[in-house]
Amino acid sequence: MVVDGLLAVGGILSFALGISGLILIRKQKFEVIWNKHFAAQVLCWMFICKGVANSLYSIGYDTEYTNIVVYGGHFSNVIFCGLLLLISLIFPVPILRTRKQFKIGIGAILVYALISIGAVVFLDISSPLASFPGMYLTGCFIWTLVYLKFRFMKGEESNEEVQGVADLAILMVILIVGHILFYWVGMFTRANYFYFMDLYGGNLLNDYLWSQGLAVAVLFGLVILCGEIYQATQGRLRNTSYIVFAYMALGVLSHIVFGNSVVTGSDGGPLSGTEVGGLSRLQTVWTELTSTLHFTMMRPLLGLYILFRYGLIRISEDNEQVGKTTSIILIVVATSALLELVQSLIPLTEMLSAGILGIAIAFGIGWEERSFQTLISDPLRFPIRTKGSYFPELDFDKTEHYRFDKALMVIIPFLLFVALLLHWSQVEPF
Amino acid sequence: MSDDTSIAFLAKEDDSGKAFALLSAVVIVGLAFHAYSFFIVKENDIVNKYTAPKYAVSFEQSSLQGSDSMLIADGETDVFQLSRDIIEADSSLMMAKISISISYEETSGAIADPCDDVLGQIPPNGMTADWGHPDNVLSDSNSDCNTMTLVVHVYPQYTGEALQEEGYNAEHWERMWTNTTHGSGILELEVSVDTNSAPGSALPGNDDDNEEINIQWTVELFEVDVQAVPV
Repeated sequence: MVVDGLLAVGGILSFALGISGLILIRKQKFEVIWNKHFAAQVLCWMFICKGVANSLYSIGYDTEYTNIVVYGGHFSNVIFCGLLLLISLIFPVPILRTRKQFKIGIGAILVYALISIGAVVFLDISSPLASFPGMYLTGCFIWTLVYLKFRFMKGEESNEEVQGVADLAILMVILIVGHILFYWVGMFTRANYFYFMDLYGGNLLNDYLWSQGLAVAVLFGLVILCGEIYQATQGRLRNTSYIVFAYMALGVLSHIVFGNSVVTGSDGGPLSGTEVGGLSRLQTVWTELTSTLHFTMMRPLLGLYILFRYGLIRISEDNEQVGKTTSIILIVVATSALLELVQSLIPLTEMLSAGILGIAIAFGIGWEERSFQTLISDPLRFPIRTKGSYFPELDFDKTEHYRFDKALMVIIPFLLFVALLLHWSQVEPF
Repeated sequence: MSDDTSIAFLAKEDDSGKAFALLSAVVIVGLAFHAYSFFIVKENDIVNKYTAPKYAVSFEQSSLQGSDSMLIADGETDVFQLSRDIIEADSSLMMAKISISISYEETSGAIADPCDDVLGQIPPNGMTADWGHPDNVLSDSNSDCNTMTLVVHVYPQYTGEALQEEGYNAEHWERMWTNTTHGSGILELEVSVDTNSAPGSALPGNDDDNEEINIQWTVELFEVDVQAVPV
């Protein structure tokens, strides 16, 4: 049994962020508008699900617990997928604008998850119904639409609140599909490394539905890129513009690195689906430094930024310590994992490595000390004054938020238990 | 704060649905392109992506020949050398096999002078070659003026026959047959002569104290060609 270190670290980071985020939400004293409050919870649970999935996948398939890895990871991803749909429906701009719509939305997502899980248990894990159809399409469509609306809102080009919503929409897209953007050129050049990515393989329709999800991620990435290029020509570059440019530029470089090689795997991320084969050393290093790094480490760090910077979690004296501890843990673990990754690529002596690690962590903590206050002290606020119509006010009391947490606290362990049952039943997953 | 509670609010607000229409059009066109690429252009490749690729490996063979002669004194050993540089082989050509023929005649001119004893041997070092090959002939000797042929197989596992390989990629198989380490270095052929004198050789003018040895070498070369076999 060989544990994939980077995937394991990513799993731990995601899990740590999810759990501490939930604690912070519970402890926060400030009132947070309903959609942000739910979004914070949903985001934390998404990270917990990814943490569970990545930790399981890091064990690898070549173990006597293959079924637990396969089914446990898959079920966690189903919940992740459902939560992804939910968050896109309420954040940053709520599509579900009444309590009734909200409840129907949650009901619909539950049905979606039940169908997907049922297909895995009663049909086949590679069944098209279990291939997360529409996952990226729905979420990224809404976020890209929000981006277009707010970035190009007439007369609001320098309104920080309006542009902040657009920035957030970009960050949500990058958070979820950033690792796919590294492969965007391959879609148009019909490169094997793009079209061969699959979930489990062996079913053409399943493969297509999965590949379609990657394609829409690329399309939305391109729309945002075009939007930001236009903004740049108008002299309205923002920090998020640089992130978009960086990801898309790395996508061009990826095409040069990969050519037409075969990078089979779920989505170019941790390659949990199938194995990478026949890659050169450069291509392997490139994959690790781009898509895998995003999937495992950038996601939690970006999640932390979104939670604090956009006021999803409000930090006061009561929860400041937990907040600081969370960000320190994330930054230190990510820094040391990154250094380990660099060390595996460029052989360094242990002494030098320890020295660099010390400097990196000290820098990380120092940076954290300085930036933490900036991050939490002035969170970007919306509902916005000028465009408040986008943000309906609904009343949800605390018990409803608690109920949401409790439901997920039951659902996730239950599904892991189902994975255990399938393991005991010695079901053939493929 | 708006009273519009429709879930289509986001699509219509501010721009009468222009952004929504634009985005929908991009998605439809993009997905049409993707579906066309997936099901029409690349379907065959996608269906067979887990089928190990097959490659036809063939060899274009050629050879270089040359000859030399040495006058070796009685009881002496002389060395003949052969290397890629000496034969001026093109760098793209790999060495498959080296054959060296050693021939001589009794050249003393004495009546009834028997052939000399000639020993030819190739020490298994100097050149990187397949020294353990069962068909190698690394030494031979005779005293009847017959031609001796020594053989060294250089490139391991090379038979000259076309191969069908499975898995990896074309570069891998090309690399397998373009390893220039094989055939690097200098191959040495040591030739020793022991003259046999004719009866009555004590007579003046009947000296047999050396022999002219003719060496003819042939180096078989090859160049690999790897072609993917369509699935």
